Amino acid sequence: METAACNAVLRGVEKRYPGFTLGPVDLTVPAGSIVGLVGENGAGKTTLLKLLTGINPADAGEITLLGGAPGDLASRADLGVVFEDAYFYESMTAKQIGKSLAGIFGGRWDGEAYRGLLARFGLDAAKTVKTYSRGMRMKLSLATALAHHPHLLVLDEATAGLDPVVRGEMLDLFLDFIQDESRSILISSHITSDLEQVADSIAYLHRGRLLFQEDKDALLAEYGILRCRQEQLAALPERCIIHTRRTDFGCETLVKDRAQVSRLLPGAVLDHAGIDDIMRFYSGREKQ
Amino acid sequence: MKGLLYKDLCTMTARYKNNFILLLVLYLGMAILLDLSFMLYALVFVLGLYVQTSLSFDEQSRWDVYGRTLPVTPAAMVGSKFILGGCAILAGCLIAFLAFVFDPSETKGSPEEVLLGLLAAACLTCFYFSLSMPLGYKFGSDRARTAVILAIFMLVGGLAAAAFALPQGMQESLGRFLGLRGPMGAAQDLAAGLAPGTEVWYGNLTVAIQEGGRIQWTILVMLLASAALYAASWALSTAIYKKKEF
Repeated sequence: METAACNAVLRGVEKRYPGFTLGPVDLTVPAGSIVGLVGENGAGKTTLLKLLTGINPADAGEITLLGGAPGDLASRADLGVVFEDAYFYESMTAKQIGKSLAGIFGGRWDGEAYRGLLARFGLDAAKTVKTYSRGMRMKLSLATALAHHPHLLVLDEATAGLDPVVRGEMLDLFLDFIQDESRSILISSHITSDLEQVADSIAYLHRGRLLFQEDKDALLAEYGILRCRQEQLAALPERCIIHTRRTDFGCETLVKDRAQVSRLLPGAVLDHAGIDDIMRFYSGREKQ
Repeated sequence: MKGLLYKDLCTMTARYKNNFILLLVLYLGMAILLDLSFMLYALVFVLGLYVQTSLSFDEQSRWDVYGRTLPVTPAAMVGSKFILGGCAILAGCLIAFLAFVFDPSETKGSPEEVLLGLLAAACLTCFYFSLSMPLGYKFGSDRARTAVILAIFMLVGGLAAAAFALPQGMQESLGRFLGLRGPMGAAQDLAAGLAPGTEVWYGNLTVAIQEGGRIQWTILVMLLASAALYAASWALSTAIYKKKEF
């Protein structure tokens, strides 16, 4: 992927903590796309997002954020961020938050767009954040992340704990956001069904290492769950077998290149694999 | 910067409005009705403390993490707290001064003494603020409270140790000037015939002015030292904030 066509590029990025090391990670967020970041709890997703957004510095590697470094004010001015639990103090109202951010973003802040988003989300600007439900708080976070018209949205578990209706509204908004092809979203989520709906590519982080970043449609088309007897697996080339789980009734295998597997084992059951399945099997393989 | 100032002002107003009104009534009441003028000096200090607690609000809501993603320099992020702290100290001085003006008590002291007292209170608040802010950024506001107490203890301990190293005569004079000799010391002074000068000895600056003391130099040094300490603390806090990881 050309760096010029990307809103974020990470190359060989590492962060070391006692007992945990992230990376080296190579990740790209192309313009006009949504990249879904998945991984188990503690895999390093939030750590990675903190490095990208300049909250913490990387120990090694190179990060390009919107054409600059994560700490550049120009890059930050063009960035919208929603973290699950980091925001304004809850005694502030949406109106006050808007006024504060208007002072911070200056001319970039679009007060009209902000009020429009609050109205679209059904948020009363005069109420304090503490009176909002979780869904309303996330909507407010999103409104503040969007009102300065950023080119990159970084969302950390932004849809966690929301009901399906609110999640649907937010996913629609994400799709609207990237329509002009110059903007992009990097979203970390445990709700893989959301990512299956909106993401263009999926990056899977496991124990601090990025196991893959692949086009979502290709990923879902390529991977499958094969149910067959153990001895049948011998007919498959090694590169097709990601990981096998053995049970009393046979074995369940995550396979790559479904078309070839179908040809080689025409009688076996071969189902589509979702992102959850892919994560579970990759995780099993890493544990072995 | 103005967005940050507005945020802290909104947070503190929402959080402390009632608390501040009660405090104001209590302190003014004690100062005027019970003739406890020193409560007005304490008001200056308490107002400074309010601003210091805005750090813990930032930590509670994890604004400190969110704030790092915004287009604001570390110097401005930290600087907004110091500007607000300075404004709070000035506001405290103004409120206290007005209260002194309308205080009918006869023991409140002369206007010069009141102004000097307010200046001392403001300098003390500056000192505390300057000490606690870098520690707050370094250790977090909760742990910083313990660190501040420890730092003050070490400072006072160090000064006391230095004072004890002075010759006996100088120790006596210093003790009298700072009013640290207690009732027994005062009794000894009376017995020694030092009573007429006790006001001077115990630090009555008004008398010192009347006697031609160069009090303006004391004021200038206090102001410059406080300003320098405040600026140094701002710079140190900014350096700590830059290196801080979340």
